[in-house]
Formats: sequence, structure tokens, C-alpha cells
Amino acid sequence: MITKFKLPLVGALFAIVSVTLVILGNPGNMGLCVACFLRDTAGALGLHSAAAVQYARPEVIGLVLGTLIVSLITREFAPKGGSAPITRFALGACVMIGALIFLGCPTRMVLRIAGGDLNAIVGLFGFVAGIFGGMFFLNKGFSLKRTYAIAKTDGVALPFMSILLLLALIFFPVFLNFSESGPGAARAPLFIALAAGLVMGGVGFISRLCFVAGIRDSVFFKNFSMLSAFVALLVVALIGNLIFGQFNLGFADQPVAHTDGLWNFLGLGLVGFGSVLLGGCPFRQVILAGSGNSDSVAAVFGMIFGAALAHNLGLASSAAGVSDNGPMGFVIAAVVVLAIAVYNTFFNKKRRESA
Amino acid sequence: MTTLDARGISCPEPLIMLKKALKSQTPLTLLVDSKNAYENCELFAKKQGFVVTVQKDSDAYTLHIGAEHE
Repeated sequence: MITKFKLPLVGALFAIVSVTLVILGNPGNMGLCVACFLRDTAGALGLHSAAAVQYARPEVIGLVLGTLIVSLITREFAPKGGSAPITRFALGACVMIGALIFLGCPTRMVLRIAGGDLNAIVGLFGFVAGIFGGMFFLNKGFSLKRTYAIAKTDGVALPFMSILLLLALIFFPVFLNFSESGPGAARAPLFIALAAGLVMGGVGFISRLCFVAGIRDSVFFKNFSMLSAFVALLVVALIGNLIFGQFNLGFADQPVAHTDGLWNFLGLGLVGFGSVLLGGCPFRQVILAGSGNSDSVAAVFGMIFGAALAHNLGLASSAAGVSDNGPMGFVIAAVVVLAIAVYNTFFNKKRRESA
Repeated sequence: MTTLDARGISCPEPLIMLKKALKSQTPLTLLVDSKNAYENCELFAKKQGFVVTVQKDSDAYTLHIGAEHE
């Protein structure tokens, strides 16, 4: 009985946490956005110099540590890796470039829809199209090969770095950059944000919440349980936004969003495509990274790298719209993802046969 | 009998391997090493109407997927 309602409950909890974080200070429709928060963290570390988006988001630190704690308790913490880490790094970077052209990861897409932002519905169509594209290659045999057990130090590296970042944030903020205005300056109180991350990390790990899986499993495996989490998240966040006056239906004047439909579609299309090849959305990659999967750590580092590139090279969109360099950045990222997909599907066939 | 070794292969590849194999190669044995893959594959096979028995070892799950229910 509980199992049946587990995922909708997780979605509802996610919505409550997200809406609360916005009330407490996070940017609009950005209670929890993995892409945005990794981007802000990259800025806090000085990896890019976009002054408006710099803050070592405690939510992300919490996601990693919450996963670590719960996976240790359930004895599922397993240091493993070796499944094409550099390829995953590249995919992570490309996914981030797509996300920053849309302005959000799949998590934020749902939160934006729940806030009445119709641009995100355009993005959703792109996201679904991207998932279909990725699944085409998976069904044809795409594989990044096997993972193996690896050194424990590799498995705990990201949690350890997260703890260092948290200590810096609390005790030595002088080491980090902080936005004085813009989305990076909109932040919920540190310890509440950290607690939110810890809870959603633990819950995300147990439930295996994944925004790509929600659509992928429904369409390709007729398994709708993950999608139910999505729907619950959407409905509860919508109700929360209506109650607290954060709902604003339309395309124009949406928080941290632009109205360019083509690029909203293509940006999230790239996110969907790349995420399917990675085996999960950015949120899921962070969770897997916290549970010892160094391949997902590579993907997360790739996302941080992609965020730095996106801002340093002027690829990221802003509320004003798509940047001048954005389309070219998109084309390059899309070609990279497509090349990875084609190569690992059609030219890399040795494995696979049954033992 | 066919044995599919999906240990170390990330989601959703084990499920795709299983989906393809169930069309022609039952009964079969499937090896996976993550709880995630095990649960997804067991659920999928059962939904397709197959009899599934599971054996859990220290580092892997072995799923024996038998004939379809009548």
C-alpha cells in the first residue's frame, strides 16, 4: 500500500519543499533546480564570472550528503565507476548547456509549469522529443559499458568536497563569491536550504526519483509509477503557488525565464537527449554521485564545467532571451551528444553478447 | 538456457536487454547488481506475465524468469 503511494508522496514532498524554499527567498519557480544550483555553485567557486549567479547552494550540498547518509544506512553505498567517465563528463557539460539555454533542468521545468510559466510547457515538448531521440539509440544498442567496484576514496570524494564547501560557506565565506543582486542573491536561509537538500537527497535516493525516467518508463516500458511522482509534484506545487500568490499564468514576465519558444524547445530537447544517454536527469546524477557512483560524479563535474563554459562564453540565456552565442553553443553541444550516441550505438559493439 | 549478464550496466539498459530477450529466449536467467535494476526488471517481467524467482547473493541478484502464466 505504502509502496504504491510512495512516489506520489515523494513528488508531493518535493513540491512542498520547493514552494517553501521560494517563499523563504529562493528565486521564482526555483525552489530546487539542480542545473541552476550547480551553475550558482560554479560561480561561487569562481569558475565563471557572471556576477548575478554566484552562490554555493546549500541545497546541492544537502542532496549529496543526504544521499550519502541514507545510502550508508541502507548499506547501498557502493563505490563504483569505470563506465566511460570522460564521455559522461562531456554529456554532463552538453546537458548543462541545454539547460542554461532553456533556463532550468527538468526539475525546474515542472516547477515552472506549476507556476503558470507556459514557456516551460514548450520546453516539456522538447524534453519529451529529446527522450525519444535518446531512446532510439538505446533501443539500437547504445551502451557506455559496465561499471566496476572502485577505490573507496573515489566513492567518497564528492561528499568530502561537499563537506569542505559547506564548511567554507559557514565559516570561511571569504573564499567564495556571493551575488549581490540577481538570482544568486535570492536565497533561502542557509540551514533551511541545507536541511531541504538533505531530506530530498535521502528521499530521492530511496525513491530513485528521476525526471527522465518518469517519461521514459511510461512510454517505453508502460510503467507509470515514476510519472505519478511528476504529476503529484506538479499538482501540489500548483496548489501551493495558488495559495501563496506565486502563480502567474502566461508566457511573458515569468521569473528567470525567456519567451523564445524555439530555444526553450531545443534547450530542453538537448537535456532530454543527453540525460537519457546518461541514464538519468541532473537530479538523479547528483543522487547517484552521492551514493558512490563516480561515473555520475564525472557527469556532475561535466555539468559544472558546462555551466562555467555557458557563462564564460556567453552561451547561457537570460530573462532578456537567448544570447548571441547561444545557438552556436547549442549546435556544438548537440553535435557532441549525437556523435557520442552514434559511436556508442553503431561502432562500439564488442560487448553485449550473453555470457 | 539463456543467461543475460547485466551486472554493472546502468539504467535502463538491463531493462532493454530483458525486454528484447523476453520475446524469444524464455526461460532465461538475468544477472544484475543494483537494487534499482533488479526491481525494475522483476516488475517488468511480472507485468508481462512471466513467473519470476529471485536469488540474492552478496554482489548480485539472479532472476530466473520462467514461462508465461496461462
